[in-house]
Formats: sequence, structure tokens, C-alpha cells
Amino acid sequence: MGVRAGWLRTVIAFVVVVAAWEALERVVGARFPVVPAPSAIVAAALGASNAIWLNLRLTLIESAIGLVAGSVLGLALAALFVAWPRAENALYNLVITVHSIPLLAVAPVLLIWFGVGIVAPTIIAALACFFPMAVNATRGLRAASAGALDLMRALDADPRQAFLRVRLPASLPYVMTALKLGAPAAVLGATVGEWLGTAGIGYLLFSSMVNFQVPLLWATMLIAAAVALSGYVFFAGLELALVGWHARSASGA
Amino acid sequence: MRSDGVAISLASVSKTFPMETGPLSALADVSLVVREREMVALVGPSGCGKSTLLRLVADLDVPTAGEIRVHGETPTVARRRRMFGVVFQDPVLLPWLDVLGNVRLPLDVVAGTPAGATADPRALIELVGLAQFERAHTWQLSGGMKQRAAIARALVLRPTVLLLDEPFGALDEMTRQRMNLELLRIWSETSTSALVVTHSIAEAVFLADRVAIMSPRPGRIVAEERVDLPRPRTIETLAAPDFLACVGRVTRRLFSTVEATP
Repeated sequence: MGVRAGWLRTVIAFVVVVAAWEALERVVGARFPVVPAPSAIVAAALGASNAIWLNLRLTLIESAIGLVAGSVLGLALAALFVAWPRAENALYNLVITVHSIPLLAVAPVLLIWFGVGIVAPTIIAALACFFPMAVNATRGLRAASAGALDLMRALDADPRQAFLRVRLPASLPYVMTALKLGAPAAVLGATVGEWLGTAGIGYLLFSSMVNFQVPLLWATMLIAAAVALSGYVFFAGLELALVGWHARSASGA
Repeated sequence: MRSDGVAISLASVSKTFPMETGPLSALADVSLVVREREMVALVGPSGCGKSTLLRLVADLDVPTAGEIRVHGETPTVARRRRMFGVVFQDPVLLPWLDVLGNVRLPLDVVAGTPAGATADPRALIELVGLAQFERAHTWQLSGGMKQRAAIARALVLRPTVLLLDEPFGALDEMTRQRMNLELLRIWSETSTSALVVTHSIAEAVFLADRVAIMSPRPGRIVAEERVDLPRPRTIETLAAPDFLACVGRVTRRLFSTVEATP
């Protein structure tokens, strides 16, 4: 009941903000042309719905592929680090250096290598979610308690069993956190990659900016935010379903 | 398997840990025998190496010197043959499994391998008094309940030897006494031998047939006391003069070993 009440409050707050915004716009709007009224934003979105949808679909595809690729690579690196601590010592600084390069700075290089198209934004999306996964998964794979591993040894479980029964479930909460963070990061990465391109939400943002189509710009921006948020919510829901035990045992036990 | 009635034998066992500050001698020349169907308690001051000793028997670590035999086999063979049921102070229940899943865990691990006789997990859950909590998860259980689940799990592969390392150390006094009674009741339903490590003298005397007393580090067995109290032991036993006398004897021996060491 508390959760539903919270949702209701959020919806009410949202409605109030939008209504106030609309009213304010009607009254003083002429002096602030760069902040359009909600009604104008909706009208622009509906007017360009086809274009929005085509570009959005592309960004979604790039984000999805980037999320999968970045997460898989992050997991692989984490597995490597845990299996060979020497690799971690050697590579960790390199990983941090790569992560420190701003995504927007990587985009031009990738565009020169791969040209305009789907590849560069997908790679940037993958880069954006690779680091959170590598860091979290490394922690996760080491999260199994010494006691649990002693238990596996006492049962003479082979390494495969110890991994499947203890290490993997123990690491799942951390992997879910990384996916929760990675989904919006991948959307952001894809959008950044499209900034200098000719298609996708990033392109639409850029083109509506230079053409001063302000309501469309806002509409695109809000839609991009909604997409990123849905990614987060999806994985948060998955997290609750799969690893609800983690939060409950941390607070209770 | 040897059938001379000896379940666990330790002969001149030593254990040294290499530390940065120099080698740490945890155990020095420990000798102890636990017979079949016997419960032996190991008491000693903190840090005397009693937990280390248990880990050596359970093949979770290797002695630096000396010999350990479990029913005539080495600890490694005994562990591989799943002769041990181990209960630690931390029950180590997996939080993503419910009680039934946790108790079943050894069965799931050995599934597909040639295993010996196994017990029914549900029957064991009932035996330890958790019948209503099969579907409960760890955060829904109290400390005592978690240890009961751990005991059930330790019994599911029908071990011949039970090893308990301060199993009730994290519980309050009353729960502890109740759990002692429970443990004796459960143990009487099995035909295992048991080695219990504890820092409570009363608990040691209440549970065991014999109490082995360890010196401070480096630990060695300095004395053994027979506990001639009849079984089954009850709450009444705790007030019996024989019980109190035995506790007194063990306490005096323990304190004399502590004082003797500078």
C-alpha cells in the first residue's frame, strides 16, 4: 500500500508540474521562446511521430546490441581478473584509462574508422556500459563468503559445482546493478555516437537544435530520457525478481 | 574402514602458520582419540587452536606434522567419501535458497556421483524442529533456527563423524541451553561420533562423554576428564551435584593450565 501511495504522489506531482508549466507558458511564454509549453511539445511529437519512431528504433537497436556486447565483455574481463589476479594488476590501470576517455571524444575517431552508420554508436554504447559491468562483476565474483566456499570443499564439490551453486548466485546482485546502470548508459552512448551522424535520436536532437525546432528538440529529449529510464526500470524489476533475497538478507539477517 | 572402534585419532599433530612476522605455532603435539558413538568436547582459552584442530580433521587445512585418521582413513579420503557432517559457528545458509533447498544442498552436490546412504531432507527438517519452515528463507529465521537448519544439512549425507565448531557461540544463553538439549536429542537418533569445540565449560560437560582440555597457544591437550553423567541428559542434569562437580574439575584444570603459562 505504501508503494502504491508513493506512485500516486509521483503521478500527482507530475500532473501539477505539467499544468503549472503550461499555465506559466501561456502567461509569460512570449519572452522565453526556448522553453515550449507542454502542449507545443506534444504537438511537435505527434507531428513528427514517424521520424521520431524511425530514429528511435535505430537508437534502441544500437543501445541493445551495445548493452549486450559491453556487458559480455565486462563479464569476461571480470572472470579473467578473478581467475588470474596477475591479469588484474596488469590490466586494471589500462581499463581505467580507457574508461576515462570521454565518450564524446571517442566518437569522432570511431566515425573516421567506421564511417557514418550503426557501428560507431553501437561501439560507444558498449564502451559506456563495459566499465560498470567489469567493476561490479569483479566484485560480485569475489562476493562468495569464505564460509560458503568452505562448505563446498567440505562437500567435495568440483570447481564447476562451486561456481554454479555459490559463486554465480552470489555475484548476481552485482551483475544486476551493473545492468541497471548500463542500460541508460548504453542509450546515452548510442545517442552521443549519433550526434555527428545522419540517423538516430542523437542525430534528431542535433538537427532539431540547428534548425531551431525547439518543441521537437524538447520532445526528442524527453523521449530519450523516457527510453533510458525504462531501461533502468526494466532491469530494476528484473533485479527484484531474481535477487530480491540480497536486499532482504542484507537488512534482516 | 577399520572397526577397532576408533572414529578419529590425532597423533602428535602440529600446525604452524607462516606469517609475515614469523611462523605462528597454533598447535603443538596434539594427541586425541574419539571413539565410535562417542561425543568428545574440546575446551580451551581463546586462540588455543581448537578451531584449527577441527579444520585439520575436516581436511579444510593440512597439519604441519603428525597424523590424523578418521575411521582409519586420511582426512582427505574421509572428506571425499563425505564421512563428515560439519557445523560452524556461522551457519552459512545460502540466502538464495529456502530451508529445504539449503538442507538438500549436499544431496544436489553429490547427485550423479556414487554416494552412500542418504537421509530424507524433510525428515531431518522435522527432526530439528523446523517442519513449518521448509519454505522460509534465511532472513526469516532466528539464529537458533539457522543453526538447526545447518545441523540438518550436516546430517543429510548420513555422516559417520560430526564436527561442530562453537555451533551455538552466537546465541544467547537460554537459546544455547535449549539447542544443547536439541543437539543431544538429534545426536541420539544417529549413530555418529562427534567432536564439539566450545569455549563454554558447562556446555562441554553437558554434551560430552569426555572433555579434552587444551592449553593456550601453542595448543596441546593437557588433560581429559571423563563425564560419567547418565544419558539422556536433561535440564535437571544442569543442577545435579555430579554435573557441577565435573564442571568444577574441568574449570580448575583449565585455569591451572592458563596460569602455568606466562
